[in-house]
Amino acid sequence: MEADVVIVGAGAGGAACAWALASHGVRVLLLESGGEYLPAHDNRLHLADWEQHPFPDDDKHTLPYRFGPLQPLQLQWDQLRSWSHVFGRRVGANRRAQKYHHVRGVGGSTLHFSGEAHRLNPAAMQMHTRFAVAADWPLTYEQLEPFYVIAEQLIGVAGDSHDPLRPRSRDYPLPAHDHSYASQKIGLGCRKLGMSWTANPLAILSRPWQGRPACNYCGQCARGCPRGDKGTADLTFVARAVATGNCLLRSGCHVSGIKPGGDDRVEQVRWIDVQGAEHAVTARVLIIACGAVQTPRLLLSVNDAAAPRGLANESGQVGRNFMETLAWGSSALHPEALGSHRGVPADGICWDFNAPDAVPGAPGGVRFNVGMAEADLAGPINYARRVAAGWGHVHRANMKKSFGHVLSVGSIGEFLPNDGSYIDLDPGAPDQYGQPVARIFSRVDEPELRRLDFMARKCREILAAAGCDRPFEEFGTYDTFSATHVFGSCRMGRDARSSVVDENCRSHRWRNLYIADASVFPSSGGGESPSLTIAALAIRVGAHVRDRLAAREL
Amino acid sequence: MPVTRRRLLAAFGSSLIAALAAWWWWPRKVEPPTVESTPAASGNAGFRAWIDTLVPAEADFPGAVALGVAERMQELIGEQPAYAALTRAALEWLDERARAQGGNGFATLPEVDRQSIVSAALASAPGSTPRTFFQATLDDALFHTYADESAWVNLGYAGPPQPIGFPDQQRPPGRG
Ligand SMILES: Cc1cc2nc3c(=O)[nH]c(=O)nc-3n(C[C@H](O)[C@H](O)[C@H](O)COP(=O)(O)OP(=O)(O)OC[C@H]3O[C@@H](n4cnc5c(N)ncnc54)[C@H](O)[C@@H]3O)c2cc1C
Ligand code: SF4
Repeated sequence: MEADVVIVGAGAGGAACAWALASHGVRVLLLESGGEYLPAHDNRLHLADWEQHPFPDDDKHTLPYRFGPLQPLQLQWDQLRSWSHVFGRRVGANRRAQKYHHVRGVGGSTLHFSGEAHRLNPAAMQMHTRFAVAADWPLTYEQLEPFYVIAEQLIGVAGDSHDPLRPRSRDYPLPAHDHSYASQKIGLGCRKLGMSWTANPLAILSRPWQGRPACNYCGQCARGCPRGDKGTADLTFVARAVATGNCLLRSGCHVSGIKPGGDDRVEQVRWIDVQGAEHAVTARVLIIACGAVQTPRLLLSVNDAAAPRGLANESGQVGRNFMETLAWGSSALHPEALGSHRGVPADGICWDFNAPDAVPGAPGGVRFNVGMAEADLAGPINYARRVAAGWGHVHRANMKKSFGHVLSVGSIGEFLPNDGSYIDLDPGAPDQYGQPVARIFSRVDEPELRRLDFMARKCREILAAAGCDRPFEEFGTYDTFSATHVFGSCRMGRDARSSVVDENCRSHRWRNLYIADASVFPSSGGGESPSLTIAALAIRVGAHVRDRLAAREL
Repeated sequence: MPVTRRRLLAAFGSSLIAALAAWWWWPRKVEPPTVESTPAASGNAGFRAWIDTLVPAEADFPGAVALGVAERMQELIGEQPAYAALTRAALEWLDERARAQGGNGFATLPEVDRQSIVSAALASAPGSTPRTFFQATLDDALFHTYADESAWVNLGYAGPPQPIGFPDQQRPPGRG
């Protein structure tokens, strides 16, 4: 097939963009490094040993990266250390580099995600104007809103359409999920504290929808959904794009190089298939959507006289402004048997502190949510290892007393970019394709720590108000890098000197080069999960490219 | 060399909240014991008795040994030199303690005497062979034991999660 547009990466952004183009007659070649997710092969949730099997995490399902050194920990923030009543503290003098959680596969990291489908709070899109931090989004919420609607309809988002923070032109396609029994208890706690507790908008079907079944509340989205009710990018956007006949999906094809051409256009894309054979195609339009770690890696690894600092890096901003996930979670035992292993991972949410001026002492918002499944406290093995104390007969008695009693409250907050957080090329050994590996540097600064402190205190307060004992385990990103939401490493903006792409996600210099993934975010939002915004932005990119192609400008 | 239960688990990744769970799967660092040691005379029997004391059977619970957990663990420990060395040293320690209590090896002791030796292992200095062995093997024994449905009786758990899920999620739990 002759392609008008080549898209690299079939995750949240690449898949949505492919749909936006293919559904309007544009011929798309979608190149994805990983394979397709096969529940029958990759999922074990129906077996007794399910808890021993996380989402596949081998070289086949992830891409290589390394970490630069992380910061030393300070006594002053000791209350933000992760700890457990069983394992104690596990981090030494320096912040620990645990993991950048992502998936290499058709559907990208959405295969592993919890299904939260959030719109950004419009107030969080102007952080520079309002607080002189991060950068402003070069487009408004109103410009993005119609694309949110499209994404929500295609994914099948279930939610409560009444949302005073985020105006909407159309209701969610599906009604919100009921709160689980345990989530109701957290809601009671919030209400006691004068806080709200609402349905979390989810890319999880509350009713059968367009040939996919409703969720059965197994709670294990992070291990991959075997039913297909979770709105992963493969089942929603990729499947529809391919069904148009205009999108050729090539999985197992790793893009290894991009060749710049004359006239400020990129010319050629090279990839290596699973058999190791090399291919190349001339790109009329190239859209990169490899995620906020791999997209800058790919651009920086371009070594060409026309792009001496890497492709699209005229501003020197490729890889800069990296933002990770600022997160906290506290878990405690409730006196009542709640059956708290049941339900979708995060059906309830509190947005009261989501506005960027809502947290005292630090700009940037936060949110609070149910967190048992996300803390992986939803099965007998984790209860045995992490909840029930003791050994021998005492341990067994504690298992019986505690199973189903855990409540966890999680919180995610804004992460502001800083000069110690960036992606570059690791000088060490190259990857299997002979390419340099991405290296992650991330520094948690004082505003983040103040915000994190607020998050930790509130999580504990909510649990206490819900009737729980003191926490038995807490986790936070002060001492551990363990990010699921990463953004910002190819920032969008109007000024070519301080950003990589413009408001349409097009390179300031390279006229046929676009980026359609989380790397374009100028700020992270106040704890909103990013995939719906990534999809909306990518659909917008698709619409823009479509128009430019029709006008023969590309 | 760090002891990892399995590479897979060491690198376990999970969830939205920066994968809270993943944190707990961090590989334990078990320093190889300084003493050069050979397998304890009581070998497998000692290891089985140890696991049986950590996760014993009860009327409604088969316990670890009946589920084949001791054998499974020995297999995995055998693949990890530092863990294997730790195990050899710890089994010798157990037998010495047993002899000091008048027994002929840990495996020959009655449960109550084995329990007092487990308590002594737990009470020993952090980082010492017995304490490290206790922490590592208890965690592993629980990991394998509760992967068997027969261990779920009377917990209120109606799993595994699929194919039925938990459609009663918004109501107080029944007893599963
Ligand atoms: C455990 C977990 C839970 C999460 N929970 C939520 C949630 O509840 N809600 C939410 O909104 N977000 C959640 N997220 C985050 C969300 O999944 C990501 O933000 C989102 O998928 C990022 O989209 P992306 O397009 O930027 O990158 P990805 O979705 O990661 O896609 C990038 C794709 O590019 C491919 N690729 C990379 N390099 C190459 C190359 N050289 N050649 C070819 N292909 C390449 C990769 O294989 C991958 O498939 C979660 C993430 C994780 C890991
Ligand atoms: S909770 Fe629902 S969406 Fe998540 S894995 Fe289970 S069935 Fe799928």
